[in-house]
Amino acid sequence: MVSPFWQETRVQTWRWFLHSRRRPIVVVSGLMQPIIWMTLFVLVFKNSMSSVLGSDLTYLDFVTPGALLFTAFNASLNAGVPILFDRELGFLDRLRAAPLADRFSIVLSSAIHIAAITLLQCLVIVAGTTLLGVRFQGGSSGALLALAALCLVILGFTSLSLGLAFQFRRHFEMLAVVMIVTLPLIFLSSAFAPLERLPDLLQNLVLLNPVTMAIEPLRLVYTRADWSLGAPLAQSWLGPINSWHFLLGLLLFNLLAGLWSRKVLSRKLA
Amino acid sequence: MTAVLEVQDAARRFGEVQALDGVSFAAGAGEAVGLLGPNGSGKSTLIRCIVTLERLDSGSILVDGADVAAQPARARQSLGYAGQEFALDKVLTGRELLRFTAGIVHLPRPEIAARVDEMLGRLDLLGAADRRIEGYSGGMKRRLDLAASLLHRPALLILDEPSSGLDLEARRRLWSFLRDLRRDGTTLLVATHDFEEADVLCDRLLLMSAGRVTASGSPQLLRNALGSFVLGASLHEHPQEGDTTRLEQLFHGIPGRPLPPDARRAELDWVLPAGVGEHDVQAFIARAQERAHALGMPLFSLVLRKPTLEDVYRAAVRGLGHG
Repeated sequence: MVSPFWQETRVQTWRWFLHSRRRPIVVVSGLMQPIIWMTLFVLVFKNSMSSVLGSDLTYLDFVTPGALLFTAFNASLNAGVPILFDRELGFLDRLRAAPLADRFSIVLSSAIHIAAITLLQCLVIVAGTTLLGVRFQGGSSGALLALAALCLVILGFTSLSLGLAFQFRRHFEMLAVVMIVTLPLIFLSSAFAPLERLPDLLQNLVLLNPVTMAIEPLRLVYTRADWSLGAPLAQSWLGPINSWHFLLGLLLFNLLAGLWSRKVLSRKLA
Repeated sequence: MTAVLEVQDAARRFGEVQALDGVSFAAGAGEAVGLLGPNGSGKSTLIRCIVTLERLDSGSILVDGADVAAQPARARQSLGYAGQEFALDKVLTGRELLRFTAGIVHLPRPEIAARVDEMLGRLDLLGAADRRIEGYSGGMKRRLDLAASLLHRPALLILDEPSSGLDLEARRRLWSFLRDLRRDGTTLLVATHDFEEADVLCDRLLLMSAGRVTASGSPQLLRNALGSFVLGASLHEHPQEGDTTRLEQLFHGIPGRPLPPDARRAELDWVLPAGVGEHDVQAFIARAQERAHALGMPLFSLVLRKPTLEDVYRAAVRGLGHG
């Protein structure tokens, strides 16, 4: 016997998957954007970056974790948009007027769908880059860490996006904010360029970006077989930063995003 | 009769606007109550408060005994809601939408397929069940919306302008379905701008204006209470400015009061009070015609008719003039 909460979460998740199946362009376009960026960056920077990255790392090796993070980040940040469409079209009112066991199922189903689609998109990128010669070096424990980093990014930015979806009344308002936020967060991260290439001031700013906090440990396990969580990955004003610090920062970001969106959702969904 | 819906002193303010101002009424099992009023009169706010989409500032609403503020989940189990806009996901097929709705209203899994087919059949949608909703006509969308609202057999069905956008045939079929539903014991609360719909569907009407109920009663009672007859006088085929004031001179000495002007009606509608007989009416008509002649006002028309719900609405919402 399925509990009412899981019954309503399952059926709402099923609806989101039907949407993805009937409108595959949304899934494909979410995948195309990081692939296009990655291709452009590889074409432009592969030669100039070779001196910085050394002989055992190509720019494609370097940029693959960035593209994975970009995919996860981009999809998660847009997670709230379908909910805003539901709101504009009155469908959210049907859900809110229904005898749901818990209205949290509305956001949980959306989060499950986004997480699944995003991980699928990431798998496509992993498969594609593997064909191009990029090898994941970190082994099974490294793969778990990579998955954890991706999931934390998905969870944190999905929380933020779902909270934003209930803050705005119209989808174009949200899309405008997403557009404004996306590029600085990506380009003020180490997705496409190594941290040490950035000026000191900018480097410290980039270290505070949750996208960087996920990319650095992900890149470590992607490119190094001898990785360790305690190995220093960057230098900040406060001293050396390792994967533990980044993951703790990411957890803190998730906590803050979760608390904020919970506050918004409990007010708007009550 | 046990009340399925009880609204007591409901009040809701949005900034400077008092959207609901002490609304009270009750509806029993199988009763159909209509809400009539202009845009902004508070009908939709009242409905949104009943279906738990908005909260009251003060007062209370009970749905099947459950307080919508204290026990919203229990109240939602007893109500179905078909809003003004079709709350349909057009990417899905009709059958998928109903299966989805069955999941969110917690129908037991073994019952879902049969109940979905039953509702598709009752609303004449079986033939289109596996087509995407985006290809449905307005009438089909309305019926599907209704099917989704009724899937969990609610005691109270709330409809916001149910026949808007439907052709005559679709409206008649919808009304017939809703009457059957009432006979089965479902209580209806219908917000409408359509006087015919209010007359055909509702046992009782609440006329709302500025967040208050300004008149209530059965359609017949409301018509009778307004007056015995309405004399509609016009100087031109299409009403012209100033004609109403000129025409009031014709009715000096004739009992009754003018209705507020309405561009689609006569230039002056004069309501004769209850108790005025047909013999008196003939005399009043003759007197009005004589005055028109004496004042050099050639009448385009002078029509006698029984009061309609629209007259009641005009009087209740915009107020009667002084006779």
